[in-house]
Amino acid sequence: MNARRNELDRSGQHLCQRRRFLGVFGGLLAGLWTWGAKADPGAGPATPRELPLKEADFYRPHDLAG
Amino acid sequence: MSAVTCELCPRGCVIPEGAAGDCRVRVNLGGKLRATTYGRPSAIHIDPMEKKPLYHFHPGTQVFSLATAGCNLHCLNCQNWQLSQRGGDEMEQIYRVEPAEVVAAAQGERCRGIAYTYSDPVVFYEYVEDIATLARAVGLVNVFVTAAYINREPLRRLCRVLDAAHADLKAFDDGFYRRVSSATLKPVLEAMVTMREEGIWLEVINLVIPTMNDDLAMIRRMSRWIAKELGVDTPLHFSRFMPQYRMRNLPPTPIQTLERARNEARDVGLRYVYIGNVLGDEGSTTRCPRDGTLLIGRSGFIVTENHLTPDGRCPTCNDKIPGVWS
Repeated sequence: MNARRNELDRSGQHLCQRRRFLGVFGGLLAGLWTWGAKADPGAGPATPRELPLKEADFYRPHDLAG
Repeated sequence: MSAVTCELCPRGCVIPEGAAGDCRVRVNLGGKLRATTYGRPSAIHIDPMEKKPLYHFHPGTQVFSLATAGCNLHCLNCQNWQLSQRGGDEMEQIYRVEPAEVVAAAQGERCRGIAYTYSDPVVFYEYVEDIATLARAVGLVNVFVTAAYINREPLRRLCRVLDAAHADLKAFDDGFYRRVSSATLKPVLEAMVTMREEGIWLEVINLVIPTMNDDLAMIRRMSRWIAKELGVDTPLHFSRFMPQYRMRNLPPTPIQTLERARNEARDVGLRYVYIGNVLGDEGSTTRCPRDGTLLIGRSGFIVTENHLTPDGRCPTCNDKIPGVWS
């Protein structure tokens, strides 16, 4: 009975380790993909678009008096 | 030392290098004045035309409405102070939208036109002009909602691409303008006359604030001026004040005050006088001045009934009702 329980525990442990490995590996892959997407300058709304500053109309250089 | 003088509005700000004008958004960078909110709106909405409020201009349609930060007035009772009394870089939300994208979005949303509103569009003048030019080319109308504190030359140029303006006449009293809005009255009156001369559709709004500008004699003088200089067919809206921003010490305008103001204005000959900011009031209804026929009924910003003929006439007497209806 005890031997059977130990066998189950061990297989469960193996299963946990496999899942953990897949989880960590998957997480790394997802992280790499996200980083790649963020590093892509054309990757959508995460990259704010800069516009040049428009020169205004209706102004003149200011002349100091005197 | 390469200061510049801004000639867009009557303030005529002298702006040292690295500083902004009184509006906070026109900035002197290296001796060149930059419109820093060009292409950077902070408010974009789709509104009913009645919200501007324009009552004689494409009633019942939707208008694509946008604004950037900044304003050349500093009214103590500002309704949109979170937007108007800030510089562009102080906003939580700044979109990046080129003029062509604004026009495409307005078309995509099936709007009748574009309104430059919320803050005072005078301060994002170049953005307005570029959007309006493109909008007109594709058949959209352009609506300018403003306090009309702008110099004549830039206003004349802008009017070439505008279809309608809603001008805020805050009081018929220069002292009020100086105390409450940090501005002056005369340029506002001149700008309204210019708008009329340029042939754009014009409606005038007056926010009636208890004890500040609710004197009936003054309202009578203001109405006389509108009748004489802008014409008796110019719609005038008396709007109800609600405590806001730095004027929360005053109560909302009593309805009776608005009704008295309306009676004064009609008494001097204005034919289309409305009461705004009062839900369900008869004062938001358009009636034929000749026979009293109900022409357009409204509830809030919603047109509930429209009996005008397709060419904008009273169905009873066939009189032409001034406005832009189709």
